[in-house]
Amino acid sequence: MNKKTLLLAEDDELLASLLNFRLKKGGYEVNHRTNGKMVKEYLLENTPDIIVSDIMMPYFSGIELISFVRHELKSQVPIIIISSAGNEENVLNAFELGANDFISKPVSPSELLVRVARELNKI
Amino acid sequence: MKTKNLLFQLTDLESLLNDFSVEKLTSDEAFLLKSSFQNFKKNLLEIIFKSKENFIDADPNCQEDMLDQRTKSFEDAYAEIDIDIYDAIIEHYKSYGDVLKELKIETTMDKKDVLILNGTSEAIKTEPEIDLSLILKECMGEMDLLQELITLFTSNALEFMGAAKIHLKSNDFEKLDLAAHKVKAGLAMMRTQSLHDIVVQIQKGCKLDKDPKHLEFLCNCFNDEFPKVKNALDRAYSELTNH
Repeated sequence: MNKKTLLLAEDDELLASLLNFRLKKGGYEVNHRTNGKMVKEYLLENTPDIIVSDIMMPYFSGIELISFVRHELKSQVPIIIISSAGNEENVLNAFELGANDFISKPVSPSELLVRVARELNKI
Repeated sequence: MKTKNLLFQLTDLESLLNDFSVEKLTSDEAFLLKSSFQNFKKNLLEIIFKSKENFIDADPNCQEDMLDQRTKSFEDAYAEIDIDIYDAIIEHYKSYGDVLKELKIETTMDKKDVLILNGTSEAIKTEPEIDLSLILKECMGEMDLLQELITLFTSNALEFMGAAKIHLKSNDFEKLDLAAHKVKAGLAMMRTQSLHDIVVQIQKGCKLDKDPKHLEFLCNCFNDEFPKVKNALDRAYSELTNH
């Protein structure tokens, strides 16, 4: 059985290391990108099964990423947004643009795994 | 001493504390002291203005009686705020960890002052305690990953300290805020509460008062606290490896 591919867009190496490890252990093929430019380049050539993205990223924010995926790529790939506490405005904005779910920092990898599985099961 | 006079004295003291000498006070001590005085002043202001409003609205014939009552109510209020402020100070200190763990509440202000100062200095000597077992659980017991996370944490914190110095020099509060935002998640993830709290204050300072002196002070707090946290992390890691 093919592994589900997951794009992890997160510029914080510390958080990304832990999430990368746990998501791989959880059976996903993880593609980690550390800035919005790399994320955009990746998405122009690949279609992941799910995207997990931080809101605040260099070059291209998580909000811009959602807009890009939904409006330019016309893709309905599930997007889970990672947001800091107190960033409610951005989270609402993300949902309006088409994000499927959000998880707030500090991220619990176990919780993220559950949310990823839930989104993939909806497809 | 009248409450108002006390307030003026506190205001003077507060303004002096803004220019405190880091050679004489540690940054943690000065920060706690300044915050305690700010709480004290805030409570006094509330009492004075509340009472003043009642006084102005009253019939002039009753004002003399009210003055006497006010004096008494100030005295009573002063006794009440002793406890309130003391509680506020305790709450404030508690947010910095187990600062007043050993502290017993006494009823007279003099004794309290001594106890607060003793409690503070004791706590400052104490290194923060960090429990890595939860993170190790998230790492599914992989010590190599935990070690990698500690290395990344260290490098992120050092990067922040460097960036903060540059952004403070150029008074670029937006970039300082961003740098603080970037390091914050990692601090929360590693459960380094004291550093996390300082970074939250830095972000608030960058967004609200934008006072370079206060921000510099907070960044110095971070710089002072980081080695303690790093030692605590290293100690916690070696404890885990020894088990």
